Amino acid sequence: MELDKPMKLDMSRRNLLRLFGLAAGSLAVSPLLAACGGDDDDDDDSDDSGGESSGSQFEPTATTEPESPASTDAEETDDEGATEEQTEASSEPGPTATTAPAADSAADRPVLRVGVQGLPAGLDPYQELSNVGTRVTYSLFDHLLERDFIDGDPPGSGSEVLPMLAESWEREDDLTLVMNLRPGVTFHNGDPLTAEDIKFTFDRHLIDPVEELVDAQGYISTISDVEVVDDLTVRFHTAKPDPLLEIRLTSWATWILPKAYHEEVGIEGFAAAPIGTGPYKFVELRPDDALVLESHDGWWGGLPTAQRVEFRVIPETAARVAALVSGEVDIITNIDPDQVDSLDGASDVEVRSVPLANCHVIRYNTHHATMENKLLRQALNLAIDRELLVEALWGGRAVLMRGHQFQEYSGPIGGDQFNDERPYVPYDPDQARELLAESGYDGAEIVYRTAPSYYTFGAEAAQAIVQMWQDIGVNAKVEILENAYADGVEAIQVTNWSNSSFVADPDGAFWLRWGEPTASQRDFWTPENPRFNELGNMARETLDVETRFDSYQEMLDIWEDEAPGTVLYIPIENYGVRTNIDWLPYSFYYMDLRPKNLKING
Amino acid sequence: MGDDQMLGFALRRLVRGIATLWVVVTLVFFGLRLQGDPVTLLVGFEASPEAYDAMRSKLGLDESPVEQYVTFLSLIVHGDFGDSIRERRPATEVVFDRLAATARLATAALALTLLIGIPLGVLAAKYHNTATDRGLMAIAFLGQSTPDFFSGILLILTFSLWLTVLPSSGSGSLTHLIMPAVTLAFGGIARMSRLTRSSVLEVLNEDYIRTARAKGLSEWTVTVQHVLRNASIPLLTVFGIQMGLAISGAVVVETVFAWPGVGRLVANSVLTRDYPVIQFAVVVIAVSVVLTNFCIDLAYGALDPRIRTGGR
Amino acid sequence: MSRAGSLAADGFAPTDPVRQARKTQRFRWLRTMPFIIRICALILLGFVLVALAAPVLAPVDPADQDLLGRLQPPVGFGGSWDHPLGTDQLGRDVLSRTLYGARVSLGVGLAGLVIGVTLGVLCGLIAGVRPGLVDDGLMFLVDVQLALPFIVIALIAIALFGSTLTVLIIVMGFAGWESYARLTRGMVLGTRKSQYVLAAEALGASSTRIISRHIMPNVIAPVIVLATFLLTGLILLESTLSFLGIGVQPPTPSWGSMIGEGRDYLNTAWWMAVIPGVAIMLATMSISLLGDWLRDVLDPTVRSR
Repeated sequence: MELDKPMKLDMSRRNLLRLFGLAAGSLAVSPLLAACGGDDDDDDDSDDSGGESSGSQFEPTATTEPESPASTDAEETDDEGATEEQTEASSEPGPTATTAPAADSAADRPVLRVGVQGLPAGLDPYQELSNVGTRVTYSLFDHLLERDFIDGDPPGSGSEVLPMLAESWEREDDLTLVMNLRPGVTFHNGDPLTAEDIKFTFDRHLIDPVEELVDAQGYISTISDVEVVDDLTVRFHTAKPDPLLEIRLTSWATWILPKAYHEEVGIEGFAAAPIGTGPYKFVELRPDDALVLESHDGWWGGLPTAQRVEFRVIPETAARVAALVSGEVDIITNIDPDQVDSLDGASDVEVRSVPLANCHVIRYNTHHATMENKLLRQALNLAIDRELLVEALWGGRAVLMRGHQFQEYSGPIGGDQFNDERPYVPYDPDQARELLAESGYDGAEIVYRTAPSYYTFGAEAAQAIVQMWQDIGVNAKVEILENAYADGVEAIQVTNWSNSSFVADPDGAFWLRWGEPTASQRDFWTPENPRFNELGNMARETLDVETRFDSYQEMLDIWEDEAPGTVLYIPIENYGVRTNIDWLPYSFYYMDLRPKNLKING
Repeated sequence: MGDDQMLGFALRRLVRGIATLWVVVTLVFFGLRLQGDPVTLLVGFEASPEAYDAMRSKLGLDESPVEQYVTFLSLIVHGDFGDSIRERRPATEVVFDRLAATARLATAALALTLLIGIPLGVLAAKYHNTATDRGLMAIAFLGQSTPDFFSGILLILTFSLWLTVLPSSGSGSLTHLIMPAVTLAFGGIARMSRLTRSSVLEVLNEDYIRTARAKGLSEWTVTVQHVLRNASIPLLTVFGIQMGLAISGAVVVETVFAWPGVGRLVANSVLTRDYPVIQFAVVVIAVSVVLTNFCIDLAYGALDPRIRTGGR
Repeated sequence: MSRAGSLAADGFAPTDPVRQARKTQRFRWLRTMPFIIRICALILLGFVLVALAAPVLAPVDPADQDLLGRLQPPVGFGGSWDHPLGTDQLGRDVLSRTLYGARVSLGVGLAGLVIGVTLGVLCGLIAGVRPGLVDDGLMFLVDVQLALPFIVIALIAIALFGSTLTVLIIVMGFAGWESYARLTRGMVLGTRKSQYVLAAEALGASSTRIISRHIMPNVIAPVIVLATFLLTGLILLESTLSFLGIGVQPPTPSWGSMIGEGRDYLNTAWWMAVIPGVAIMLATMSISLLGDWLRDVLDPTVRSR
């Protein structure tokens, strides 16, 4: 069975090699190699690799294109306060009739069609922070800096920091970072990118943000001020030293927005018709149906690979798989591990996988009368056979964890914060039974709440874990609710969750989700040991690697002892891809469709 | 029915229809608010209580449900159903965008229902109580005998994955319409054929048919002539049901085939608690149901004088 | 969504009570049950027995997981006799789950039906014998129910009261009661004008007596037939609710939830959805054909041919 199958990573590594091979034929090889060498050279002139693809294979798409029954819908979208440019672009009758002034090569680029399980209702990247949202907004917006995901180990996980909209950057002192912007960058509406846009972008969610942006604020809360030095220079100030500032700027809630346009249309108009500097520009969004993007031919990184990108909503897994195999779409997302085998047999189609920078987690509500018993929670944690879950449920493809830490803490961009001597989270049913007896647990019902399909195998793991708990004598049951995480915090006893690693450091994963200013400590848990928050607050303002390391290790000890939750494993994300598409999934949820990671062969 | 009588009937139905709408909207309005608010879904699980409260008041949900209800009523009088919480544009627009897709699917499903259901029913009646009868009816029931997501996925696997003759999902071309329409029509076909069958059986036993037969007219001519007229009533009934189903009941078919119709909109809106969209969608659905029933009542009266006396 | 509630369309015009009254013939037709209908009856009887005897028949507990033995095929497709019909995505025994599933699926369907029929027939009877305000009020409720999309009711009710079996059954009771109400009311109105009821009234019979002796017997037959049609709709409705994520909670097995969970596996582990799918198909087909036959038997206008 699945256990015998080779790791999917091999596939992606193969694919990576292919990417390299392709690139070798063009000049594009230089930035990639340069990146390998750890050189901060200006990269991304891989444009030529995108331009040469021919669209012959994609002729059939022409038949599906007239599909957008939505010339009317498009107009409706326009009403929502788009600029004139936008209106022109989207009210054009034929999807192929682009505004592209570019040469012939620009016109016969293929269309890329992606089958997704859902789309966000709006496209403000700061409001759509989940996997469904960032997956698509990453094609519309650029960061100041980016992580080199292609060169990571395993491929798809980020290694070092590369320039993006910022051409170069420098730490002036512990508290300031100066960034020099890339000249000649334009937004989709033709406006040039200036330092004012950068300041606006950060002020919007850092200084007294509207409610919709409060969530985004938490990701980069260390920044105290963004100062415009000149048109192409900005200075970032932090109140305390922030060792992670550069990496934060490659991650969530740092997508650069256009000041003038945003001020013109307002936050709601912007979500309806967004404009960024990214490789693809917005054409139309039909919620529950499709999102259509079009090449931003003037993208600073070169001509984007695809003429158009269509994200089509196909909620049912079976329908998504059928659409891929029959050639209706080129890539599909969210294939759960059990579907991988069905795709492996199909021709012209393969599964590409990546372990996410994310772990599945269980969270206990320690304020709940039944759950406030620490020994009980420790017993529950010890009763979970994570290895069995990984082997049997995930076919060995998910990754076990040494506590709440990610390997990438010690990767090329990590700050040596991974303790590879920390033991794997233990499984010991006998000790669990002892602790349970000791805890004085009276057989009260313990309900594990999960959504049916929000997390891959979320409901399956919940049922398996509940059985493990029953096996040690806990009266546990599963509750599967569509809106499991929408409300009723007080009523929750146990629920599943996931924690992402956003900046390859405990600060952007463990502390971000369990630290003092989080909902975890507000709603579910108050650390009995005050050291936890003291250490956490201290560590995030310290540049000394060892102090930080020791602090986080001690915090993990406290966390494991108090057991407000536990980690399960690092999940694998699977994409189905037609073999003529060279594209690599990243350990982040977003799909990178920039030319260096997308090549469509004829 | 005289003209006055007719007018009175129509007026009474109109008043009753409006009252129905009002009660339906009111029930949904309060039901939704009891069930939970959309604030957490908007600001995120991690948001502070302050952000939560601010969003609540921004959406006007900090007022008591009764106050909200009064505001709601005063606005809908002017046709303002508010803005979709999820899509941030007028709820009316959001719903109307989906109606076209729903209408296409409904029309196609209805056509299939008629084209397959009626002949099946006539044939079954012709061979009443024989193996052919049972066999035909079994076929009619076949499509209706499994959950429609099951039959829908089986269709996708067969025609898109293995035979690759039909597109698996989406709503672009006419070929996209085939599988969802067939799946949606399964239930209608079963209903239609069953109704046609019993109507035909009834007709065949009427005295005037016996007379016609006695006069030497061929059985086939007799059947076709009279059945066509008689089948109009079941046809209308099924039409009404299919209309209602196609608008509110197609959620499963729309999800399986990624068809952007009203059913899926309603289901998603309930889950995301997009009050304004659900409220307006419910109004649209209720209006169409009330109107369809009204028309059917009128048509019944015109088609079959017996019903007029029976009903009231 | 459901086809329940919609089957009401198969509406009966009030049949002539005088002809209806010749009851003696009915039993002759029971004896001449066609072959295929006998098979249907046998299948149904089988399912009912299976549902009742599930704990005895099932080889293992339907909730027992065996993660290392997940997705095992049935015997004959590479599986072993340990799990004759294979296992599901958590290694649970498909045979045991299908057997227990009969319990839940048929049980929930029947319970929902009983609620719907009781509610509907009561409403219809009252509306039929109390013309005027009571009738108008009740029929108004029917209108409201018709205009209210069932899916909205179901989603809201389950969000409000939780996803328990009881709530599920009550929700299903609301799918279709209005058709019984309309049917019953029509029959009552038809019957009330018949000569023998008029005669009974003239003789001073009480209204309860008229209802129980003269009206009810005429109403029961069509209601039974309609019920067989609606039952299939309710059995399928249970699966639709599972599809929408508001069905029976695990680990309780039902055919609907099994098909719902198994639908993603049709391509890789078909037995998960196909086996309960066949069960649901056999059950609903049998009920439908039986219902059709019952209608022929009970409806005099058809019978006379």
